Order: sequence, then C-alpha cells, then structure tokens
Amino acid sequence: MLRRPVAAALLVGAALAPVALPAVTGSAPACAAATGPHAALVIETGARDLRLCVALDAPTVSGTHLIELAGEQQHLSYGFGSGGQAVCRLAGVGPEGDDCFADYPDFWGYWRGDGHGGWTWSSTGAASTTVGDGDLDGWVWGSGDAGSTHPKPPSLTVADVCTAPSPSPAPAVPASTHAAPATTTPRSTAASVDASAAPSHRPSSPARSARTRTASSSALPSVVAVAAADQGPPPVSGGPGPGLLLAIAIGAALAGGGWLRMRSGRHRDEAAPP
Amino acid sequence: MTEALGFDDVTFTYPDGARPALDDVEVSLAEGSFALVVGPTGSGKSTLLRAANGLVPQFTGGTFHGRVSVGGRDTLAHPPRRLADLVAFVPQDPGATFVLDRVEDELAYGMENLGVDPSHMRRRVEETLDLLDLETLRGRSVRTLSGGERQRVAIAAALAAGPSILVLDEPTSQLDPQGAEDVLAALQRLVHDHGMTVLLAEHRLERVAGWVDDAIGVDGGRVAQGPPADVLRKLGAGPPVARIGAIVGWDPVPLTVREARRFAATVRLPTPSPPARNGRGPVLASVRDLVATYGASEALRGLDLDLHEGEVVAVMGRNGAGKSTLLRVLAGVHEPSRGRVLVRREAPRPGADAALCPQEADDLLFHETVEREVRATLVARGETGDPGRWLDALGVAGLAARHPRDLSAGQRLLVAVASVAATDAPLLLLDEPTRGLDPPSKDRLVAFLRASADDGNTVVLATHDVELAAAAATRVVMLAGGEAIADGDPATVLGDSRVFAPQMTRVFGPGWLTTEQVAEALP
Amino acid sequence: MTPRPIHPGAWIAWATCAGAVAFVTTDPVYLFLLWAVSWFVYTNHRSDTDTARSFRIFLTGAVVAVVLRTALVFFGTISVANTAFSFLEGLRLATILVIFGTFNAVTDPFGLVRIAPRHFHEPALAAALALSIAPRTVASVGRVREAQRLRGLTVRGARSLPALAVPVLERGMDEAHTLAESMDARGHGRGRRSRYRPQPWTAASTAIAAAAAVAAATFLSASAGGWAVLHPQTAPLVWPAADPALIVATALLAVPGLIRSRRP
Repeated sequence: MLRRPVAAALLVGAALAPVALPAVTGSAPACAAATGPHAALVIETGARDLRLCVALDAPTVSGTHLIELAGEQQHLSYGFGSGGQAVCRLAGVGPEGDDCFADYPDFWGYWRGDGHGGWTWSSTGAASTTVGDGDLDGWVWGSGDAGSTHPKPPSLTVADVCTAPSPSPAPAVPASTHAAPATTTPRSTAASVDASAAPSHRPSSPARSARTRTASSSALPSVVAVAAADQGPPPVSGGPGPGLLLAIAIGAALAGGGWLRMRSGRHRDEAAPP
Repeated sequence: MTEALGFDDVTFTYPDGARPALDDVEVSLAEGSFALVVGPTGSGKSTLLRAANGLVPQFTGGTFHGRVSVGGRDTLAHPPRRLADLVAFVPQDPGATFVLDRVEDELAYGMENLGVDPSHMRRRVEETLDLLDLETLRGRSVRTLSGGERQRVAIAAALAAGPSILVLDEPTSQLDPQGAEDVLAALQRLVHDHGMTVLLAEHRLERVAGWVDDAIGVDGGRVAQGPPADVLRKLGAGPPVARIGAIVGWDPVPLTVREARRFAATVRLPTPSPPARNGRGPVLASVRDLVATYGASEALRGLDLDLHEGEVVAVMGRNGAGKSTLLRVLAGVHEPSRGRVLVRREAPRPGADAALCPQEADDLLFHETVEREVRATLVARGETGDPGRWLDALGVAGLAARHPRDLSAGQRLLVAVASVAATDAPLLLLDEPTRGLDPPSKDRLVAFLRASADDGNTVVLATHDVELAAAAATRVVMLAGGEAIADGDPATVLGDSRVFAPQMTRVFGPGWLTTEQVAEALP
Repeated sequence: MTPRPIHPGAWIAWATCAGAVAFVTTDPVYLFLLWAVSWFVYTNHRSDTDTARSFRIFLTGAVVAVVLRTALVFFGTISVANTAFSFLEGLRLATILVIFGTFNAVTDPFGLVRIAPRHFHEPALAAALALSIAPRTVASVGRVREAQRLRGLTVRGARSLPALAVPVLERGMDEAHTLAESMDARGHGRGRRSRYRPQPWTAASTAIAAAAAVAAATFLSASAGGWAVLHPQTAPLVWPAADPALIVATALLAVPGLIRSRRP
C-alpha cells in the first residue's frame, strides 16, 4: 500500500531536483544584490582585441544573448546566422547573411574560459550554451576546424576583464571585488557536496569532472551540482570516441534482443482459431 | 404479474425509410417471461429489440409514435444509459459492444457504470464467468477471441450488469450445438429462479422453440404476440418437428423433440431410404497429411481428405475444431505447415480454383449496390455476363439496386454468397453461412448449393447448423482437435451423434434427415 | 503463473520521461539509442496484431518526419551544417513519435481511461476511442483486402487504396457509432462510477517508473546545466559526443524490456 505514494514521491523529487539544485548552487554570489551578475566576453578579430565586461540580465544567458547584451551595453556590432543559432560577424569581421561559413576556412571559433586562464573549445553553438555570473566566453577569428587547430584567445580570467578600466558604467568596478568569490562559489559548493560523497575527487577541470561523475557512486544531488558547475565532458574531435562505441553496442544488443523476441513471438499474434 | 416490457401502439420509420419498420405494434411482456421474437429476415425484429432499450429511436433518429415502457419507464423520457440498470442488450455482432481489453474487465464494465460496490462486482464477475464457462478466458484480450467465445463474453457482460430484462439478437448464431444448449439453459435458469425476463430473436427455431413460453411474430413491421405454437403456425414457421407436425396433422403441434416423439409412436414409417442425391464424380480437391497452424496452436493435424465433384460436404465440429482453417487452406489463402493441398491437381488459386465466403461476410461487400458487387467479381475474371443470373439463383434479384449496408444480415449474407459464387470456381467454400438466415433464405441457399453441385462443382460448407447440414449435405466430415473423426453420408454420421443429430433423426430414428424425406415416406 | 500487468501509470511515467529525454537533446547517439530502446520495449510488451500495425504506422510517420524536416533545408541556404542541423531537429521529433508509438502499442488506451480521475473520464474516453480508430481501420483494410482476394479480386497496392478508402472509412465510422451506442446502452456516463479491481501498482511498475525518472532527471539536469554534449556542433560538423553517463541513463529506459511480459 505504501509503494504508491513512495513511488510518487520519488518521481516528484527526481523531477524537481534538476530544477532546484542549479538554482541553489549556480547563482547569486555574496554581492549579487549590489552589482548583479556579469560575464566576460573576449573577442580576437585578428586586427583588434576586445575585452568586454557584460552585465547579465538574468542569472544565466546563452552565448548569443551575451553578445546581444554586449551590443546593447558596449555597442558591439554583431551578426547571427543559421536562424540565430550561430555567430557570423563580430566587430565588423565575418560574413554577412545567414551562412557563417561563407568565408571558410576562416570563421569565428568559440571558446569557453575555465576561469584560470585556460580555454576549452565549445562543442555547442552559442545559442545553446549557458553563461552565468563569472563566466568567460571567447571568440577568435581564424581557421582550424577544431580546438586543436583553431587559434585560442590569450590566457585571461574574468577578473582581468572586469577590473581593467573600461568605458562601461558602474557594474565593472564593484563587480571586481566580488568576482573572485563569484567564480569560486559554484566550485566550492560542488566541492563541498562532493566531499561528502567522494572525498578523494575534486573537480578541477571539465575532463576530470567527467570521470569523477562516472566513477563515483554519486548521490543525485552531487551529480546535478557538478553538472550545474561545468559544461559537461569535453567534445570529441577526430573520430568516434569510446562513448559512441558503447552506445552502438548497447543499441545493437537492444535491437537484436527485440528482433529475437519478434521471431519467437510471431505465432502468438494471429487471431485464435474459430 | 407486472409488465416488464410494453409496446403501446408503436409506429416507427427510419430516417430514410420508405415504409415503417414497426407498424402499430402492441406488445405486453410479463415479468419472468422467456419470449421469442421470430419472423423473416428484414421484417423488423432487430428494430423491435432495439426499441426495447431506447436505442431506437434515440440513437437512430426517425419518426416514432407511441410509447415503449421498460419496467415502467418510458424509453423516450430516458436516454438509454438511464435504462441500463433495467435492461441489457446483446446485438447480433457481439464484437461491436466490446469497450475494454480483457474479458473480465469487459464483464465488469456495466457494473462500473452503475456504481456497483467493488466486492459485489467481484462476486458477480466470478459467478458470470462460471455461468458461461469463461473462467479460462478471463485474462484474455477480447480481440483474440473466436466468434463463439466473443458471443459468450457479450452475453456474460450483459448478464453481469444484473438487468431484470435481457434482450438478445441471435445469441447462439456462432455457437456449436452444445454451446447453444448451455447458454439457453443458463438463461432459463435465470428466468425460472430469478425472475429475469428474456427476449430473444432467433432463426434457428429447433434450438429455442422448446425453451420459450411466449412469442412475438414479426412480419413486415406488423407484430402478433401469443403462445409460441400459435405464433409459429401463423407465420408458417417452426422447427422441423412443428413442420412435420403440421403436415401430418398432429394437434397440438409439437415444438420439441420430446413432444414430437409422443406422436411419432403412432406413425409407421418404412425403413429409410437415403435421399436422392447425386453420386460422386472424380476427385476435384484433396489434402494429404495436412498440418496447419493458426496462431500458436495446430488447427489441423495430419488431415487426409478427398473431395469429389458433385459433392456437398458439410464440415462440422465444435468451435475451434479447425473447420475455418481447413476452408482457408483449400481456398489457397492459408499456407499449410506440412502436407499438401491440391485443387485440380495444383495448388489452389483463390478466386479461380476455389472461392471462399468468409465467416464475416460483410468484409466482402464494399460496393454501392448489390448488383455492382456481383458485377465486380465478373469483371475481375474478364466476364461481361449478367450478374442477375447469380442474384436470381440466391433469391436476391429484388435487392439489386439496394445498398448492401441497408440490408438485413441475412440478405447481406446471400449477396456475399452470390458475389463469391460468381467466380464460377469449381470449389465453393462457405464458412458458417447462417447468421441472420431465416428458413426461406436457408432453403434458397440449400437449393443453390445442390444445384451448384449438380453442375459438377464441389461445395464445402463449415457449419454447426445441424438442420442445414441435414438438408444440404451429401457427405459429412466431423472434425475434432484438427483431425477427422467421422466421414460419411449424413444419415450415418449425424444419426450416430447425440449432439449433432437433426430433429427428424431424434424423433424417427437414424436415416431420417429432413421433413421432406419423412413427408414423402408417409403412407 | 502469468506475471501481473504493469500499471498504466508506470507506462505514462516511462513515456513522459523518455519523451523529455528526446526533447532536450539533438544528439543522434542518444536519439537513435532511444529508437533501439523503444523497439526493445515494444517487442516485449506489444499486445496484439492491431497494435503491431499501429506501431508500424508510427515508425513510418517518424521516418517521414525526419525526411521532411531535413528536406526543409532546401528552402534556405544549403550547407552540410544546415542539413545536419535540420536532420537532427527532425530526428528529435521522430524519436518522440517513436516513443509515443511504443506507448500506444503497449498500453490499452481503455485501461488508461479507467485510471483517469473522475473529471477526466469523458475526454480520456474520447481520446481512447479516437486512438482506437486508427488500428481498427488498419485491421479493416487487411480484412477487406483478404476478402477481395477470396473472390478473385486482386487489390493491388496503392492504386486500389482510394477504392478501399471509402468503404473502410464507412466501416470504421459505423463501428465507432455502434460502439458509442452500446456504451451508452451499457450505462456509460450515468455519473457515479465505481472501479472493478483497480490495477495494483506492482514492483515492476515501480522499477520502470523509477528507472525512467532517473533517466529523465539526468538529462534534464544536464540540459539545465547547459551541457554541450546534448547538442552536437553542426557548424563545423564533428562526430557527435556520447557521454557514457548519459548513455547509461538512456539505457535505463529499456528496463521495461527486461521485465517479464504479461503475455503468457
């Protein structure tokens, strides 16, 4: 008799967890009330280097919206293509129109900063990424289809961008004093939760955290917290990775199992004899 | 005695009807009656039945005069669902009423609607499953059931709702003789012990005439109620014992074998001579070592059979014995798992070597007029002949311009047979061709089948209608569990059986099959 | 002994969670894996030939959806990236169709109606009846075609479909009308209803619902966290990522396929 409400509660809990936890872990640094969330936008056109500190109008925005905000606040000129999904022009460089690869092999490469000066090649388009308070987005114009071949932005942190004197109004300066805690808040929360679950693993880079997640028998909250903090596992470039092979193996097993069942069960299907 | 069902001066015409389907009908059915509705096909029986629970006119539309009262309630003043606690209806096509998936859920559906207490529902369902011998089917999906099983489930579902009045339209049409007996016995027990009122329409009078105590004769929308013997005599209808009784002049005309036997002792009959039927010609079709599956089970197990030109073979046996499967294999639409089937020395081509009229005859009909149905078959084989010939042969020439959907079940069946016969295939197969067929139509069908055999064709009919087999067949093959357990001339095979013996055999002894045969032999 | 049937609520949970998973990702690895999962579940739990046919219809619809959505590329600039993007969008929609088709094939819509709360009973029933028209029509077509064969009329493929369409539809409507009629005559819609043997919530149902919930939760949290791996980069085109954790989460949706089916 108890099974039903217990199952229902599990369901509701599971459904709410992903919604609740990112809100708990990801946002609101100590000084959010004073200055509001902000992120850094780094643009290397080849001819110009732009460092823009952008105030966010929501706890998280997409990479494209970050560019839009920069356009409003700092008069950055930009152009999107592929129905608003991809970035074609920044600061006057790049093709006009819907096709962002019209100038191929040159195009805008999209990088995500890890907060310590390192950069990770984004495997998702800017329309689908999440930029939160204290994040760093980088764009480099050049050629090279993957992170291994495309030019990277210089090593920078958000603090570098948002403390440097900039033409933007108030948010930049007070933000600097809170930038450090802001960037570390998600990490520390993740670390503390993780500490309770698996003390030996501390997420320090996206690649490590991927392995952390699969290795530890993590309770749901810790998985979710880590997910909120980083951008997921690194993109695969080159050929199919091990994950893909695992997927193919499982898929083949399922399909084969189903096919075998069909064959053995076929006779049962026809209508009973009259 | 209170009145369970009353028709007061009822006249009803369907929305597109040329003439009234019910004309000035007066009926008063007392509580606790077991009543029969009888009449030619298309006479208005189904309409009468459906007026008993308000489906006519509430669901059909049309013009309705007069008053039908069910348990005191006016059917015009209450929608059918408001009468559901009083009256339950089992239509001709049982599958049409199934709402849910599992058999036991189907039984409970009516009670759920009535808000019956769950523990009470459980008990009722169990009792009804036992009453109609459905316990082994309780978890099955209704969509996987055979015709006979479906019919029993539909009756059970109606009964489980606990109505005081039960209305059934040909409830034994798909049941074998034993199954029919069991259902009628169950109904009678409910009538006698629980005061239920039962109203049923039936063509196969030999099955029901003995059980009923009241009768309503319907002809052309007009109705006459009275004791069964009177009503049947007035209609010129009746089971074989009544027919022979009328011929010989027995009074009162017997309606059951028991009643007839009392008179039979006074009749001296010579030794029966086999009825004059065609001898057999060469072999037209044969099956050897035939094994065929249907679903998960083996429907036919190692069957050996030779079918000759000029034969009318009745394949009989209980529901599930493999009759339909055999016909489908002969028609060339079912692959045997093992063994051989040959028609004219080759694998049968459907529509050319063999033509089958399936159990669901309606599946065959999809043109707009009866005439076009037959013509379609002729055109398919490159013939430009006149469809009228086939319509005449089956007595439905008068319906040539009608839309098949507007015809009664029996009429549709005859049209279906005509469409199939028009293929002129030498092997004509009919699967249970008796739903909705009144005696005159059955006679027509028998005459047609005999004529076809006389022309050198072979006719095979799968049936559990004993009287039809007795009248039409030159040979009877009895199947059980996928094997032939008897094969020979009707007098021997049917005479030998307790369950499958026709009434004439039961009254006068083996060798006597039809009333015509007995009448001819009378001094 | 036949195992107890899976509670319809568990199937609803499964379908919702599987649908949510398909909704938040355009990664073909997970989507195709969902196809394999759906197939696996379907083959274990399909109820009878009518639903088998309806599943085939959903499959066909899914493939058509992918093709059409990909073809939409031709209305804009054609490039590998755009085509891939369109294809993935189509694939996502198609996957949802396949999941729904599986759900439709393994549940009895009328069983779902009976667990609907009182106020939803009528619309649920209407929906169930509407859903049943499709498989019934398909079954009708099959029977009609065979019947025609029996009298020597070869009903050849697509050409004869219009000729079949009207009578089959007529028949379908007749059947629906007769069913509605008989339901009314059996007291449907009277008001106060009781429930016969409400289907018990079994351990198997819990397992299915819980596994599905974990799968959905994993994907939803990944989506909320903005995981790049959910939306493979099409510009430029790279091999889609396949995160092992998400793969395992997807595979959890195959749990119903591992549970003994009610069919004996």
